[in-house]
Amino acid sequence: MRRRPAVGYLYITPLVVGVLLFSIYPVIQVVWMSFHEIHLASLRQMTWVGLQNYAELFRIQRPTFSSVLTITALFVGGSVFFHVVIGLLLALMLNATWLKGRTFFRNLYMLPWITSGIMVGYTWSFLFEPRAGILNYMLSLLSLPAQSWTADPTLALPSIIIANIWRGVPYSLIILTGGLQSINPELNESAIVDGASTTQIFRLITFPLIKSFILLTLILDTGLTFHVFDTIFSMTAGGPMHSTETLAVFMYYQAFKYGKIGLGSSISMVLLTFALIIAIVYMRFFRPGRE
Amino acid sequence: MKRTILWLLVLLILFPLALTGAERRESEEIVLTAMVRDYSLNYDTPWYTAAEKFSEKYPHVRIEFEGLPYNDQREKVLITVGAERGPDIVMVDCIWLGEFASNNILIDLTSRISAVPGLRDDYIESFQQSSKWNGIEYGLWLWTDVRMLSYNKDLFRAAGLDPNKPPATWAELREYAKKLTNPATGVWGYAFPAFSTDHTADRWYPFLYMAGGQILSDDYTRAAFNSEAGVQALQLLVDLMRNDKVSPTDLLGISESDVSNGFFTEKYAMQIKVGEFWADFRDKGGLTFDEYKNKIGVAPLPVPPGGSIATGSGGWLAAITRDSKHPDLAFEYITMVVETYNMTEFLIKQGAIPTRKSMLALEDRFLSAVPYFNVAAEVLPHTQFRPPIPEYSQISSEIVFAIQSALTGRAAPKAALDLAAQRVNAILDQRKW
Repeated sequence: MRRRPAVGYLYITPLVVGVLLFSIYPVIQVVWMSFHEIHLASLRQMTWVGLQNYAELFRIQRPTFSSVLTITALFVGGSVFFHVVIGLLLALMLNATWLKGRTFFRNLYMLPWITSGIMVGYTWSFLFEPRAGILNYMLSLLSLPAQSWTADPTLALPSIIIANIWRGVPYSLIILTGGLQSINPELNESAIVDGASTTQIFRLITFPLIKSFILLTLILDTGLTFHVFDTIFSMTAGGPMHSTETLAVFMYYQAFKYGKIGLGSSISMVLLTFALIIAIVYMRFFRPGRE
Repeated sequence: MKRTILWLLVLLILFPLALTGAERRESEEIVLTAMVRDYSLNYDTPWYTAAEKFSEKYPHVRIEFEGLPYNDQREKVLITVGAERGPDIVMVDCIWLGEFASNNILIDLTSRISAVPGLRDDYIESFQQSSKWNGIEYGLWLWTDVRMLSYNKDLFRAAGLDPNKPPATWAELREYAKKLTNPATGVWGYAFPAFSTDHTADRWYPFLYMAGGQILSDDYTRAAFNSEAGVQALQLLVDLMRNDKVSPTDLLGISESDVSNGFFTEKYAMQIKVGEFWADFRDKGGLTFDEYKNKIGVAPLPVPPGGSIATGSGGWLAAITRDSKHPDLAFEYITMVVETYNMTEFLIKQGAIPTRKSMLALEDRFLSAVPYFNVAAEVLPHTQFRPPIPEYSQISSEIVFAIQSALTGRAAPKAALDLAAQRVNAILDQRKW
């Protein structure tokens, strides 16, 4: 067995220290805080309460924890699904060799991703504006009635999902473009010579080869979408009637607006746990070569 | 060589001594730190002018300011004091007083205020009382604001209404709003905040007060907003939005500032507003003082049958944190800040309302710069405050939910308020004060 040179560990030490300090330690700290009653106005006074903060989550009446989870699931599920589907379609389109100005388009599509979440929220609030907004104008062209969008408790959630889809597509586009560019073009050329159709090429060559990139997109995008706060807060502040209150917004209200830092920490742990579970599920059922 | 070594040794000994001397000189200088609202630093008054005067008396004291947006002000004060690194002086929203005081973030100023002749008596009684938590004074009022009715006189004229006769009753408010609403021009009769923030509850309270109701019981331990007065006040909003259709339903989806933008762009003919629109029309609309008065009117909010004039106020206090190493100096400084000669100029520029009698006596000076100061002064004695208790944010959230439930037709006003009252009582049952 080959011995690993000690110098190797030396090289990775700064990175390990960085990860321990900026990733692991904060997580441990939040776990510790989630077992305490801590108030924003008296941060030094921590009272051990065990699992009470987690039990308290189920006692909160408005919004109920189950409704927050449902809203979060719909927001994350809707956003991630369309991020990947639209991102993949755009990546395939922008990978076509006959398309001129591909780099320009790729850069153009990155704009929503580099825009701050608050700006995205304000921009979409303007688009959703019932009278001056472009969406109701388009509905009027189709002789459809104008909608109140973010003011309507049934339409507010789809509205913020649409805004978040717009923002998140470039992220999956860039990862999936990387995946497509990693495929040897000779494979496609050989398939074409052998008479394979476009669908067959995608199903039998492209998809299996970019599956790991789709998995990566799903994992990273799910984690990021769970934590979306600024766009939602600037568009609806979690309303009307808590209809857009995701876990991230719920956590903000509990921890900072109501000052219950311990409870907020327990919500953080729930967020982290869900993101981890979903990542594990993705990896288990969607790992390359599983079939 | 020996001489060089000797010189080096001398330098090595003298250099730390020189540093110690510098440190001692620096330690003689006292630095007071102040966390204040960002907009209050836009002018020289009140903070910088008072600091200048203060430094004449105490040349060795320097005051450092940090300007913060609304939400950051509360969170940063709590976090820094929690970490025992809080500033000496803080601006406190009157609704945070209970939270700050009950957690010992602020120090008791009662004896210090008593020691300044005439200071306590110069404050309007209701404001002086609202600077207390459990009978202890924790701050000095800086400035306040009042909720009033702003209306567009041009739109009144276009609808055939007398621009000098704003609605005085709830019935008139509905009647005028109907006449002013014009789908062809996109004008709505009346606008009020209905977004998921405290603004929604805050602009509903004056109607509750006018009908004779109150938010909580006098000792702040039980919900009281679900009284008959509360139901009437909420029914009024429901009538305006759902029955008369003079207020757009999309108010639930736009922030308070967007509602005000809508009034500025003549989308709404009337609006309940904190203060008035003078600064907007002057700075963004380019209107002169007289043009503004000709275009925009401001009046006390309309009253219900048998009700009486009332409004709500917010505003800011200056207070001292428990982390202050020099509370006496900090207190002397804030007494200079709130002095009439120092504060008046800022209030005029900002369009804010004074809380001291000696400033209100300068009505002519205010009127020359704040167009409807007389209306604000008229309603000021009838103002009420939101409960300054630590649970207020949660209570406000429940009330906003009730208002939105009624406005969307998902619950009748009484049912919505009763349910909110149940929740509020449950929250108050867990209070620790």
